[in-house]
Amino acid sequence: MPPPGPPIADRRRRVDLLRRDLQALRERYGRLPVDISVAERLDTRMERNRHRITHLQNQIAALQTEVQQIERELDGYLAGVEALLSDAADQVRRLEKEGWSPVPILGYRMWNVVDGAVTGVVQPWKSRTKLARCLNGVDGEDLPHSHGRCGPPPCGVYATKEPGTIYRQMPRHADWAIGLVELSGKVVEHSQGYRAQRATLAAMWLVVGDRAAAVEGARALEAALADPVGATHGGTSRRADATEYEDACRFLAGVREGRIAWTSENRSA
Amino acid sequence: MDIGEQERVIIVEPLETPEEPRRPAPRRQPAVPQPAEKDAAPIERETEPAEI
Repeated sequence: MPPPGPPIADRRRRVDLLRRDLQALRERYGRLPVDISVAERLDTRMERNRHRITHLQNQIAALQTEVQQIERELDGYLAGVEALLSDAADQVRRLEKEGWSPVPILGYRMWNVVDGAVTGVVQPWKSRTKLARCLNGVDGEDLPHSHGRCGPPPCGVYATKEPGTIYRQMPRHADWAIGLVELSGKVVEHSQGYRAQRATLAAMWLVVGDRAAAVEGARALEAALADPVGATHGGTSRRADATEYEDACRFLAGVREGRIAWTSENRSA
Repeated sequence: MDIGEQERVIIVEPLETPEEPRRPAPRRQPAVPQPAEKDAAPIERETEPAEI
């Protein structure tokens, strides 16, 4: 690659000086005894090229203006599409009676204590929160499925609206637990319960052998899930009797009422 | 486990997670789950729930 020449502005200045010098020489001697026609032809060509550049620059400016107009038009189309799709989504939700809640929905669950683990119908609960997975081989990530093609039974973390619904259905072992869960994410409401995307244990009444314990609070619940036998021998435990289910219902109802009141107070704050 | 007929979908979006990008807030009113009737009929059918 050849080395870069002097800046074009410098060259133009020098050419102008040479033109004035030649003009002065022409006036000084009354003639110009050399042929500069080649330089004059190059001048003409340069002038043509300058016009061409100006023309192209005007075309570029016009094209840029057109691009800006099209971009503004695209913005308008995009806003229209956004409004139409938003309306369509709202209509679908309205037609399907989809609900929305900023606070978790509360439901009831039961477990049996099996081999030292608080175990649901399918698997043990090792931590407070369970996430739904579809074991029915149905496509779609919008869990739990609500399109009617999953199941029976359809997928989701189950909970009932009333404690009696689960208490009557769940086969109980000697050691069992009933609890209140907070349901969040996508929650499919049924006439007597829910199928949730996410369930988090909020309170639990635990019966192991002749001992019972009411457990509330994240740390205590995690400890009870890790060691349910130990939880029924702690400071808040007591001897179990024939009214465990009724006592559990009173305890869980109290927790539920407290949460609803808390939510109401925060909503009105 | 039998929890009755499917009625509707409720989306629970806690307000305290603003860092997660979410779809625009819906224009509807919050849904309040209706409590079941206290004297619901006893369930006879035993169905294993898909717990997770």
